[in-house]
Amino acid sequence: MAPSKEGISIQKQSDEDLIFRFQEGDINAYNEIVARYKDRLTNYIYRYVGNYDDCDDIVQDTFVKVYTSKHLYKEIAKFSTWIYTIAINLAKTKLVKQQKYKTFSISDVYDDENKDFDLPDEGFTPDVDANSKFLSAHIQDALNKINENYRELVILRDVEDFSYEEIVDMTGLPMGTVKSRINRGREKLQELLKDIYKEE
Amino acid sequence: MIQEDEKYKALRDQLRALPRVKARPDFEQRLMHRIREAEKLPVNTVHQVKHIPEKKSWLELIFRPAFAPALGLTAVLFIAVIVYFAYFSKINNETDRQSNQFVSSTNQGDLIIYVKKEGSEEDPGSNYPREYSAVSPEDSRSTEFYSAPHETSTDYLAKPDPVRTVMPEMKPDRVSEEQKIEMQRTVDSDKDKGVDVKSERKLDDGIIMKKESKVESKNGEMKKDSKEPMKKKSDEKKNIYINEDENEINSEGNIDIQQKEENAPVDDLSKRISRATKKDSTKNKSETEADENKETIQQK
Repeated sequence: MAPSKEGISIQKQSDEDLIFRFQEGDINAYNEIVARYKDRLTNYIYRYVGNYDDCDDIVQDTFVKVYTSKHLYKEIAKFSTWIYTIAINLAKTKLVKQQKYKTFSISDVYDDENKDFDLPDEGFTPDVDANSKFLSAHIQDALNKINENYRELVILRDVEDFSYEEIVDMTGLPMGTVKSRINRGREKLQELLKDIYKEE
Repeated sequence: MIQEDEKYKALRDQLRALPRVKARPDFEQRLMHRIREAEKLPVNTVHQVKHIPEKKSWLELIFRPAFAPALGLTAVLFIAVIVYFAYFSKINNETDRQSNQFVSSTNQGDLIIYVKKEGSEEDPGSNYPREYSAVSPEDSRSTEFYSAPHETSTDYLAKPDPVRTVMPEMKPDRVSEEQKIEMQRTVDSDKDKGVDVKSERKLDDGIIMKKESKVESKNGEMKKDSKEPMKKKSDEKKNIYINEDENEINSEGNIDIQQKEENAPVDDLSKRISRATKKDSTKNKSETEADENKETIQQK
């Protein structure tokens, strides 16, 4: 923990101060940013992509992008919004490439969420808790079944707990669109997870 | 927003209760390795090859397969325009020639007959009166006169049909028999009065010639209509002249002379001779004197 120039420790500084220090050439500030956001971005990208390897690559690419494009950040938005936006765009690009060369989702074509599809089993689940392994896998399957536009916003709102305003800043969508998509995504998820609620 | 969040509170709790996925332990080491690799690479590693289109000649640009229909249509239109103007230039020449006929036939003294064609109104040429000359080309003064009394058909390029030549028709007189008799009476009375009626009309081989003199043959109208002032009887004697070719004496004063001759057929010969001598005032005095001597000798 190297103290900063102003005598304040790096851990206590805000994200914006860290990026400004990194823009000035302080590599420790960059390391602190990586330490703060690597797990958050990994969790978010994993829920969105549903594949841990792809998630790890996307998060790595996100931090490389922050490192190479540090001068592009300006204090017009929160740093979290900026870095999540980079991660979302990279994740979307990754998904598009996967859909283009590997698989394609029939649900995207017919937009019929009631049909069940067998998702490819990646064979790796990062869940540690054995009791919640089945539940988390089931929820993750439900998330992967809904539309990408709904999934993205539902994860940002209900998993990462961002406010609606922050989501609007990240995605660039209108507020009404964000709300409607979140509600539709929730409805779809509720239908897919209704057997879980019955058991409860 | 809060109501909607509370509506899906159970779902939201489930999603929040999901275990947090953490990054791999060697995440930072791999990240530093990738950053170093990115820094080693030069900035412009990717060769941006600009797509420069090959320069094509203007012939290749024009004669493209996509332009084939347009070029074909243009060629057809071009040929159509050429044919159109070439065809109608001949027609214009024909019409110009016909107009020249109109001009050349309007010589003074020629009788012009306007023949209106009884064709359909759709034919634009039928609106114009056709102008023909009744005078034969040999009799015309103009050398450029064309014999035109042909009824042109609607086909402008067709040769004129000599069979369908339209001869100028003379309308019959609409004068009734009574009017003819009345006119004959007036003519007779004019003859009695000495008015020259023969010179009113002259027909020569069926060709209508221009009226040479206008003399009104009605009773008493001659003197009224004539613009010249009436001459005195004393002056009438002086205006008598002798037509040498026809051996006739024509003058206004002849009327009185003839009346006197009829009333007094036996006049004094000497008076007549003296009058004749007075009439021939243009002759030389020597000749008149010689004539007088001869006449006196003969009388003796």
